[in-house]
Amino acid sequence: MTAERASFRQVVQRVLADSWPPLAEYASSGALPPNAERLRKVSRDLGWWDLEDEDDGFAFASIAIQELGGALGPGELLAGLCVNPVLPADPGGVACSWGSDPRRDAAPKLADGRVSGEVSWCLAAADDVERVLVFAEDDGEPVAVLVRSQGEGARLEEMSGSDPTRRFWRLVMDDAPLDEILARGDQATDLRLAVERRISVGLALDSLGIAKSALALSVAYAKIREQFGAPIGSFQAIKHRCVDMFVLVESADVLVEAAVASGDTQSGAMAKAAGCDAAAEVTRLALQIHGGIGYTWEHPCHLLVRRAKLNQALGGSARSLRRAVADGLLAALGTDIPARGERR
Amino acid sequence: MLDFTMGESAAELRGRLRRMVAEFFPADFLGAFTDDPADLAMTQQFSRKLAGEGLLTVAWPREFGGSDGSVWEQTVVREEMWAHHEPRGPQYMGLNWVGPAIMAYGTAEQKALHLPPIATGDAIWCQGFSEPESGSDLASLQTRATRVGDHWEITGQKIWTSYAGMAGWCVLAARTGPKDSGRRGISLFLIPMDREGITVRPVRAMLGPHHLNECFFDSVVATDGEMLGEVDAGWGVMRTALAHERVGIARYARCERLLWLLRDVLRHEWTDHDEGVRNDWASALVQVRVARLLAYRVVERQEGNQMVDLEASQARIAATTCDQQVAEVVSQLLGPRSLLGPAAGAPSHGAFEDHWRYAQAATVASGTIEIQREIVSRELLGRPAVG
Amino acid sequence: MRIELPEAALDFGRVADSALRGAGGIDLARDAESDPRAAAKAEECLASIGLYDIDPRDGLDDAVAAAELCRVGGSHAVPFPLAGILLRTSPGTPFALVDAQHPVIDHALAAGTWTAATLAGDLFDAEPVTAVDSKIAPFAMTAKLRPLAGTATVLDRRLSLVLGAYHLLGIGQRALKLAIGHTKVRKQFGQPLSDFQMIRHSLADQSVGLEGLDLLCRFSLWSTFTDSSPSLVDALSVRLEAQRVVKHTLRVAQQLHGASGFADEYDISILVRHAQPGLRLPTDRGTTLALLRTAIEEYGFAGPFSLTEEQGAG
Repeated sequence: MTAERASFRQVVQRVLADSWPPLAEYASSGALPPNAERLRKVSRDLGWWDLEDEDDGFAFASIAIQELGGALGPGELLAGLCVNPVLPADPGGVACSWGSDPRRDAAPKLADGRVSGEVSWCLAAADDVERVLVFAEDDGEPVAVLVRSQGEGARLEEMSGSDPTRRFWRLVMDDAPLDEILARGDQATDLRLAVERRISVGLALDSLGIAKSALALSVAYAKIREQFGAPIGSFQAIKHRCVDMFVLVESADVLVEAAVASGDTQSGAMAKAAGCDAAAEVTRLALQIHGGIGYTWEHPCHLLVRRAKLNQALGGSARSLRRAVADGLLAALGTDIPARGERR
Repeated sequence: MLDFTMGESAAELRGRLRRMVAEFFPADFLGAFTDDPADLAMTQQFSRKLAGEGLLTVAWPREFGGSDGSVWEQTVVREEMWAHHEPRGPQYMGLNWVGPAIMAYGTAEQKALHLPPIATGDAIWCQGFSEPESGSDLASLQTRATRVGDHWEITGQKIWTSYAGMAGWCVLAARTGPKDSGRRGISLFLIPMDREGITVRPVRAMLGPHHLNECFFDSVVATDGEMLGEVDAGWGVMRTALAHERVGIARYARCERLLWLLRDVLRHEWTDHDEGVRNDWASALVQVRVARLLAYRVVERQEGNQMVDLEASQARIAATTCDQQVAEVVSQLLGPRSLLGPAAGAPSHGAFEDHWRYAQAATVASGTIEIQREIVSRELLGRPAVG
Repeated sequence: MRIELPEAALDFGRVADSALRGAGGIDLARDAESDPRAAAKAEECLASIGLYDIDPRDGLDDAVAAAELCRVGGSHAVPFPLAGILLRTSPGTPFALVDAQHPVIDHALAAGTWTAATLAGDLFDAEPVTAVDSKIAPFAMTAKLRPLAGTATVLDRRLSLVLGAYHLLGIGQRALKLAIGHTKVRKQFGQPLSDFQMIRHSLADQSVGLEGLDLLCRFSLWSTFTDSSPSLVDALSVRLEAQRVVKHTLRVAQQLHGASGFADEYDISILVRHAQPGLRLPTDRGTTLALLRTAIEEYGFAGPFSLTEEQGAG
């Protein structure tokens, strides 16, 4: 890591220490997620939301995103630092979906300037959701539109689920008038792909941060918790578990760094699959190491588990991502591999 | 010769239990341990109903309020109950291991006092074993029972006490021996939860309300008649109780039901799913069957009054991995829908999310998986020379 | 319910074990790679304890005896196609399941002709042609297939898969025993390997896997005679579990032996190498799983414990 980036990371950590509850107090800071007003303001004042005005801005933004993940940071910053920069014009209070389920949600359709369908798992870059970015089809042609969340024919629901650290929304549209058309045809497709790439990397970064926090908590706990007259960290089963966690984190780190640097779909897919799978496993092991205390509400362990699990489920599934990567690799090699099911 | 049938009456019983549950409980019932006290009340009523039909303590001897049924009938009950979110609520503890412990080690008075209410569905018990400093290392527990005149006074703290807030009685493990007497200085007491000096503090947890609690004991009085078994001989009773507890919950039954429920929920999109994920679903079904068979082996040995420590631990290890594997399969097939709560339109009223949270705890409940592995490895390899 | 094997079956297993140990145990397998007399010695030993008197098709009693024999045979890596001979279609014509695209038969030279069948039921005469000539398949040969009329019975296919699983079970049980023995004796860092928690726990997991496999084998054998389903679901499930568990146990056992695990002087090395054909033929794990999944999607996986409406097909 360059000196510049290392010092930026220190700045981020100081800001978090100052404007966000530490993990140990996160769950006892009242209703979840904690109020992010102060953090939003400080992050804006420090220019985090404009980092990408510079060429390698995303490299810096990614540092912040990862630290925020490890601190169970607010969804607004994740959305704002990650996706907003690729949205045309000023996105304002725009939310977009981080994981619509094509099998469950009716794919949004546009007809006569009105949109119908559902979009789930939306994260907003602001406290309230004014408008939602919807990728729809207009008679077969891809379009990217904004729809007012509180407008006619539109209903915004908060999605309650396993992860209390971020607020997700579902927009249900029944002939809702569109507010603005952002792009059509190829441009709409390009925008969608750009957003998806960012979401992949965003989830990977968030998860990597979570995994690192879980590892740190586990190592600290293993050193102090005693059973059978010794710190549990002296038991080989625990030691090896920590090592497994470390290896998972390091491997994911490499892939995530590569994805941030290259920005291409392949790398993003690999990073997402590896990063989210790693965090799901690392947090699971952390819960195991912590025993009973890890399940209590006040302890951050279970929150790290939940957020990691949801990240894993959002974006593309690890399996479909890996398949896409494999297909990409095979195409790049130009090999004559028979299709699945065929034999030579 | 080998025979894997449970008998005609078992199949009949299974159908009967399913009908009873379906008729009694609303479709969105997810167990007694919610924020709605009506859920607990429903399970109380249902337990009494089961008791009335001789189905609560099916395998207990008639003299203690049971129906002298076979352990296999008891197994069927256990399976159907756990598969359907445990409609008996917290009472399953009394049936699974408290009652059997009292039957094995209790005095005539204790049996007369405690067994009938468990059998009629009128008693809720909790297990006061674990302490903040004594989790896996249970034998190091420090709650102290001091002899004062003709009785005992108990002071200390228990943690993770499931359903302590709902329980009327507690099986309390306390140290009656000297400070470092380890497992040789522990005694068990049967204490009413409304006795002076007991405070229960709920612990909010990932599992949901009621599952975890702290209990504080401040010079709580206990008579000699309330001691279960002999002085300083509690560890043996605890071991038996824990072995019963390990197989008392038919985890594989809920896993199996959820795997098929999943297929039902996804029936219109099943073949759209990646073959690899569907393969994982099939694999999980095999693991569930294996976990089931290992549990049955324990039941068969219990029927023959044989030792079951090793087999119970093996069954527990298999059941734990099964729980987690099924949670994984569900999450792969349902995607983010698997993490929705009931209020957000979750499939099957949130049964999948509920299972996922529960499966996370499977590796630590009733003895961590490491403890189970240690028990098994001691059988295979003997004790380690060091530590 | 009766999960434990009857005493008669256990006795038979002990007799078989004793006899095979007396004949040389894994040494027979070791010798057989260079000396065809070893295989003949194995057959002689097996014949003396009643190999040719058992007909697993006859009913559960005989099938259990056959299964025990396959298990015990596996535990000694006996250089002889036990399951094939037990399921012979005529005197001197053993039976094997094959992949019709690439037919390979282990211990093929035990007979001049075999009856081969695919899992789908296609029947063939099979003639061993060339040795596979690999250290991980020293007795396997490719075969030439000549299609026959008719279909292999469901019973034969189920039995072949289940007996194959029993064979693998025996291999796994031996591997675990070898690992336990080795770790108790071998010292590193001043302690026997068996004192290291990770090793203890790993062996514990293997024992759970093998116990589970054993019970699944018994169940799948029993269901072969008690359900009249045309499906191979139960048989495929136990093959899958055998592939999963035994592959893992062999790897762990070999790993625990360190480098010596790859030296043929050590039984574990022989066991690992000779187990490979059984682990991979007629289907690799991925194929077994795909076939099982298809079968479950069609026929369900109810078993006698569940009510079929929920766990059924379709």
